[in-house]
Amino acid sequence: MEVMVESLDTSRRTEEAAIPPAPPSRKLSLRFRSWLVRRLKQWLPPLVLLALILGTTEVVLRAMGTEEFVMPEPSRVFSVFVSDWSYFWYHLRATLLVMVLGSAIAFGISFVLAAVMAQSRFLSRGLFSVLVVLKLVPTIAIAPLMIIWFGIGMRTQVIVVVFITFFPMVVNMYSGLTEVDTDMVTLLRSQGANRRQILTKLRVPHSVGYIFTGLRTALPLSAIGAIVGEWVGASRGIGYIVKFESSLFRTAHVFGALLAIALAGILLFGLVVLAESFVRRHATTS
Amino acid sequence: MIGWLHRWLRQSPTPLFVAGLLATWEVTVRVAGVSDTVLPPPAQVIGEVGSRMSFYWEHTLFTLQSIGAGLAMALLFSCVLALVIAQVPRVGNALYPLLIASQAVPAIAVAPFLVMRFGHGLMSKMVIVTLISFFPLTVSISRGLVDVDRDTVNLMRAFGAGRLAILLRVRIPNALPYIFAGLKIAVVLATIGAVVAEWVGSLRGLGYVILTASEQLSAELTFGAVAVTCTLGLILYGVTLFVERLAMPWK
Repeated sequence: MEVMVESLDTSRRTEEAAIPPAPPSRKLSLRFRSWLVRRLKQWLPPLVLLALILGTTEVVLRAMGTEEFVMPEPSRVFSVFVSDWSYFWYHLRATLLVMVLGSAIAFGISFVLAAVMAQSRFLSRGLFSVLVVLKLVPTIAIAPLMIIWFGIGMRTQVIVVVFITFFPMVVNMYSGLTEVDTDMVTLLRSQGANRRQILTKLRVPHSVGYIFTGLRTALPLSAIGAIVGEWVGASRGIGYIVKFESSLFRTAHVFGALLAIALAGILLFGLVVLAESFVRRHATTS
Repeated sequence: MIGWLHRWLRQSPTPLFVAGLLATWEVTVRVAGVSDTVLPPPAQVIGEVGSRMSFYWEHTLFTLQSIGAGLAMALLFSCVLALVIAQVPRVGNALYPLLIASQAVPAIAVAPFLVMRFGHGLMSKMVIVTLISFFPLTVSISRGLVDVDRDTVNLMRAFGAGRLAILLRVRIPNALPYIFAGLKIAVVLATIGAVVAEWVGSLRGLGYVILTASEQLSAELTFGAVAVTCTLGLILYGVTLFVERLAMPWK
């Protein structure tokens, strides 16, 4: 599930060639302005397209007189979203807590396991392929069993999230920890470095990118896990209200809930990206 | 023979690990006296699947239908989308960020609404599978169409080739490995999507069996269906690898 989420540079290449990189002596305001222009050029087209899509939907739905329970107009969704914000926020909080808690636990476990696996050839050879296979298996299928094992409640939801995010994360981390330059390992060893030093000084710094790729992969999966966990046993959360409001044919509220989880997802994604750039900067200065 | 086996196990101890894992499971459950309703031993799960083959097959077939139809739709949809993104950069630059942002909505969350709109049959499952699996396909196919060797394109252009010729002879062949890279991700997601969609509302399929069996606390049936689902996921992945090898024998 390692989809590379980068922008395709079809025209960016030529565009960057047209704007020469600002020399350091130039004034800050000018540099800021050229940065702003670049960002605008990047973000204006998608925003215009989004407005176009929403506008067309609005007009078509109004013209056809579609019932609200079939498909609500975008403006109606927005007004519901704003007026019932506290309702959405109450449920969103529960989902976010499960997502973050589950991913954090999975992150911890997979980091420890990947570090242990990186130390032992036999363990890594045998276990790694098992983990790769489990990454491909629809592990979510056992979510109903979790109810039998752990009962109904937040604990079960967190375990579902841990279970679904763990395998992709550990595979990524292990790849990062082991795909280091063997010459560097030999060099460190010849200088008398022990295994732990090689791990902390070489393997972990090298795997920063892999670790964050793992986190970015885990994010959408943790949303799936949290929502499915809410379906099989919870009475609070975005997954719960999507199901509940769907059964009541209150479609505007369904879309409001989806909008809430989307905004939260974008926010979380942004946080991960920020954390990655922070760690990278910190790692290069030290 | 023994020496060969020894060498092979040292090369890839995976079968050893799997066997050890299953054996530990079997022994622990039997020794600790864990109730069958909590965790049946693996031998019992295998026996259960074997004894009710036709039942499981019938439900597997339904799930397989939704996966197949959904994946086909997703492939068609993402090929069109990727062509637009690659061939019309103006539209592509606007569309691509929106596509990425759209992934902030977990496709699974829409499932109850889709079941309400399209009913409990195959249609709703197909739409959910399409929604969940089109994104990795679109991203990788458009990447394959765009990330071509510039020199090759320039050479083609120098010989007077048009956009269509470049698309057919450079871009599409270049995209072939990318299509399979996307397909490998999509197949895993499609299986998840189909099973979860059946939880929301269905009267057939493996997801339906898992949910109803677990609600009736019938662990044999639940574990049997989970085992079949996991095997199905792996087989589908294997089939993708096989087709990839058929389509690109030079790799």
